[in-house]
Amino acid sequence: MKNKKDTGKKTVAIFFWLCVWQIVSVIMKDSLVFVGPADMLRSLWEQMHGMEFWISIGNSALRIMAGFLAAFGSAVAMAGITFRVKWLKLLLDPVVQLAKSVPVASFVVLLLILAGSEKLSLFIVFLMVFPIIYVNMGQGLEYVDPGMLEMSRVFGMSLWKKFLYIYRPAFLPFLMSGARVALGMGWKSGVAAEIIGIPRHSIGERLYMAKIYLNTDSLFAWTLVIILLSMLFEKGFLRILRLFGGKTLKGEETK
Amino acid sequence: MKIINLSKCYEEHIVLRKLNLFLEEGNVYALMGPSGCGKTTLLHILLGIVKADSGTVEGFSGKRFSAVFQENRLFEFLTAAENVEVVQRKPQNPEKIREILKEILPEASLDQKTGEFSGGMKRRAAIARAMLADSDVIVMDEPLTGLDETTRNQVISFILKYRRDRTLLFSTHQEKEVELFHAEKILLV
Repeated sequence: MKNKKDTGKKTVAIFFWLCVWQIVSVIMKDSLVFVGPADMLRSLWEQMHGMEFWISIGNSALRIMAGFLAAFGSAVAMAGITFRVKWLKLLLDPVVQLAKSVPVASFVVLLLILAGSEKLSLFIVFLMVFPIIYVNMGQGLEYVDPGMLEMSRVFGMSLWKKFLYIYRPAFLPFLMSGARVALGMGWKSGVAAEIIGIPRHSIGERLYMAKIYLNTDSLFAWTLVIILLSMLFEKGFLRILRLFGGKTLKGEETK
Repeated sequence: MKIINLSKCYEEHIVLRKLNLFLEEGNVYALMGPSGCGKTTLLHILLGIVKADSGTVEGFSGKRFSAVFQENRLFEFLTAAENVEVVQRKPQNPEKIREILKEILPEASLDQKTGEFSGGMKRRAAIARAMLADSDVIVMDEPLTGLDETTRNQVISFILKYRRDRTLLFSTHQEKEVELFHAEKILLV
């Protein structure tokens, strides 16, 4: 009941801001600078009928998700290894700290020289996502209950059971919260890298073209596409993590 | 099973000083003594959780243990039956486990997660897990603490029924429990 009420309130809030946006665009009467939601949706509808639209989405999504999954997998594995091998954690910590602190733009310029524009977004997403997942996974592993580990040793539980019932419930909430942040960050940094690298048939290229030709409606339409894609991937990926968590997840995490 | 010259101290505090014990396999032993005399420490040394400073423990290697800890240490996101299943070395029939658990827990609670249990119910689930695990030695740290008298008698019957000639070593403050378990008393001072 409460959820239904909350959804209703959220819908009203969104509708209110859409109205404000439309009214402002009507008052400004300048489609070069500011377009309303109606123009944006019209532009989106028109572009959806061309193959270029879908190819751009496919290419960008493929690169961004490849970067995200590579970073996710390697960060989870590295956090697991450094949880056991403390000297390796000490060795890796400055690198992770560096990856967290260096501005995306610096990485973009460097990688543009080293890797070229085609795979730039893949590497940038990797660099942005890896530290977030690595740090969250590491924190989660620190939350493993030593009492439960002792219990598992006494009862002679297998390594697999320890992982499923002791380690998984400890790290999964941290991993989920990290994944939530990293997915949003991945899309933002990935598209930003594409705008600088301008790989052919990509969302970045579409946004760049919109800027060059002052197609503000197209710019807004592509922004909406990025938001929707980011939300879609976030929901899908978190659902997979929730399935992996099964009954070990509690309350909020299962939603 | 022999415990020879076992000593353990935490910083300045000596908990066990040159303890010698001989435990016969298949017997029930009640570890008694005032708080802080080292009952839990001794049980933890036998379980391999704590290392003794000196002395030896013989005849325990290769033995399979099950235990009831003071803090229960249950998987609170699992039901009581699932908690029992998880620690099994060989797969067991879940229906059979449920049937046995009905002897010690209310039937309605068997579909609940142990995290939703009361303190007493958690205790009983932890005891059931230790008793139904495939082990040679059962170690229990004050297993009946927090249980009312009726439940306590029910739990003791359950423990004695499912002990099946395995060695049982438990700590307690109650002289009466020693009698009810027909246990040999080990006094730590």
